[in-house]
Amino acid sequence: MALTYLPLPGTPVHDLDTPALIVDLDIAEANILKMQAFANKSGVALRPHVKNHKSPYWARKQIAAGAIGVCVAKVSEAEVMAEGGIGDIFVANEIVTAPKISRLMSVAARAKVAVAVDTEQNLKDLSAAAQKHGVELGVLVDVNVRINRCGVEPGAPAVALARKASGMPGIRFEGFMGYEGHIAGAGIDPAARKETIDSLDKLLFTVRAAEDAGIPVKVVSSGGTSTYTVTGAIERVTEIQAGSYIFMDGAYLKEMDDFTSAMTVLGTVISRPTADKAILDCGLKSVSNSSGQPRIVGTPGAEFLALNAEHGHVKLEGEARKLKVGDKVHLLPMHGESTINIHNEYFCIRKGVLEAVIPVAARGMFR
Amino acid sequence: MTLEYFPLPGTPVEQLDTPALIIDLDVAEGNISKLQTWANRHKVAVRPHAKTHKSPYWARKQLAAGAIGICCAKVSEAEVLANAGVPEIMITNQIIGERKITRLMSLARSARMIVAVDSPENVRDLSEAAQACGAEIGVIIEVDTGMHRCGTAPGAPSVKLAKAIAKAPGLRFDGVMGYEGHLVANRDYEVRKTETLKAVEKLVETADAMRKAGLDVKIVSAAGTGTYNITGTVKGVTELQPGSYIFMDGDYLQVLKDFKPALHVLAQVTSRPAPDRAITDAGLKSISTDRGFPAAAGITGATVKSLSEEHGNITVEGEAAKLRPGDKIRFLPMHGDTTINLHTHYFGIRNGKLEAVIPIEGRGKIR
Repeated sequence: MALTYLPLPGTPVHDLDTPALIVDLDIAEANILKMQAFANKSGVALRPHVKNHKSPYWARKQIAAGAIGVCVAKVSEAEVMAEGGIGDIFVANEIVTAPKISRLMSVAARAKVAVAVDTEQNLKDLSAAAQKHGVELGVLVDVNVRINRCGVEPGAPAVALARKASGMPGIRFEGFMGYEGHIAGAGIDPAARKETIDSLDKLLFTVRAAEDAGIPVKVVSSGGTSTYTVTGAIERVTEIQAGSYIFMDGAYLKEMDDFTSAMTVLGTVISRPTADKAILDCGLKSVSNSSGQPRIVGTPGAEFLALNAEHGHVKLEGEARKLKVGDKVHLLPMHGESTINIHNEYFCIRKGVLEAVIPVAARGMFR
Repeated sequence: MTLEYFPLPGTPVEQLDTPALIIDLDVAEGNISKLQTWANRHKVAVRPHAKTHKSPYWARKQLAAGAIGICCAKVSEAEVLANAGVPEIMITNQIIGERKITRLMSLARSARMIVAVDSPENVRDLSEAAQACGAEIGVIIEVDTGMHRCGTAPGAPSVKLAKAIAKAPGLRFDGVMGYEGHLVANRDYEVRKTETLKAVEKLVETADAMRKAGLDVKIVSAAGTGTYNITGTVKGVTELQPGSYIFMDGDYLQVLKDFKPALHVLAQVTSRPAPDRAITDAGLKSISTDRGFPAAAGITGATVKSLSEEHGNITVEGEAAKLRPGDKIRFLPMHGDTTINLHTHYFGIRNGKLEAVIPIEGRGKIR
């Protein structure tokens, strides 16, 4: 099939062929430990979302640090995680239609699996499939906490669905999830902090209503990297689902410095058409611009201008004008997730040399 | 490694699991044939760019229709094409760095390789590597005809570089290329025509200057999908290198209607939380947004409001307000290249049924 000329462990980072997705292991591991330490101190469990890193390698590191399991977005991601030895998987999304539900049951036969629901019809389909496949499936009712994406409305509609789930064969009702993904910067911005508390109130109110109705609620799952300090400190929240903290990206770094940037895309200058311009071998097929243009780090005077499919345009001033064809530069992507998703491997670096090449095993696993 | 639950050939398109990149084979084949017929009539050769489709399957169809060879952007793409039996490959980019050059020379032993250059240093490195590997490689000069990306200035600087190539052992000087990428998507045909003719004239004049200097210029290569029928009429242009015409996308359809849209992303509704809102399972990881949000096709009243990682947030009214969870919707991406690069397979459809699952073997081949 396709040839993969991987560099050997021990190769210095600047000898790696480009474009390459680079992760500084010391930094990523410190981010993992820092989030876990916060969770431990706050008495909340951590169930990191792996749609960010898409790799059992990182999931195993998170679990080794103390995470209770992982969140995924897709059945195909769950398959990769189960295959990579992860034993507790929550699909934080609605899984509808027969082919995906059958695959979900197959994963549930070898790992502890839970899934989010927001309709009664979906519950019935899941229950029928669980019975047919002889598995038990955990269910969390997805509550719309003002993100206005999926989810049932808080209060009575969510409780009604929880009651249906509680009695269904093959289904183990676990509790509620509500993702406040519409909020950025809750750690620093008082308005965002208030919005987080208000949004979470919708979830907590629902939990109380369910409990008042005699429905036991074990799991209350919420929180992202932007809100973990606020959401994680709320007593009734049992687990937080943050994901991006592991590597961070340019967009998250604008709103918080709790975690350190661990990931860059390494590129090479392939042309120097004018004194003030360099062209890189990194374009839209190796750096996403869905949250804005990447930033050049470590080369003062170099400013990113534009991305084509396979070319990056860089404006040069001062020191940066010394860049020659063949020189390497690091780009900090504004959006980590959609950048990782276009790479096949992580090149994991410790103290400037390659320690491991790690496949992005769930890349393209969007079904 | 990962599980692939492929549907069997004959499966109706509406039963495919989603998100799925679907190609209408009749339409794509019609596009291939239409461009080739036009080129035959205008006595210009076609060397389609494979960076769009990234797949030997489509390259072979283009060759069977009469293309003289295939273009690509990266050495790793060339490896995929060469290993699948494509006999002549032009890399329309500068290949910089020892690792990539070594791989290029390895390919040159089994396929006819042509590569673009824009600096004397690169010419020297290629020549040394070709000699070391006992390979011969074709070289074309990339001339900057106004895009201001890579490329040497037209006229004397290009002629000087051509002489250096002609003298370099291991290298075969083949000619020039100049991609008018700054004009291919200009919406105004008259402007596109006038400006393209000016740009291409610089290329043709440069080729003539090389001939006057005693050099043999066999290849004068230019054009993208938006300029094929302008550049292709210029005397002295020997071949066209468009890529997007094969499937088209929402952006190119605003430029010209000569070719028809063959590519869609099939998604399904996963949640209907409000009367005016439908959520689908196709987000940024299955549809690119670098040229804007995709358009819902085949249904009225559905508008993409936003895409998050794995969710599409769709505003629905009228006919679309009847959508239920599990219903399928087709989306026309605004940028085909970067959408295809997110997927692992094409689902090739003919008359509404699956004919073939086609791997995107060049996906993620960014080095």
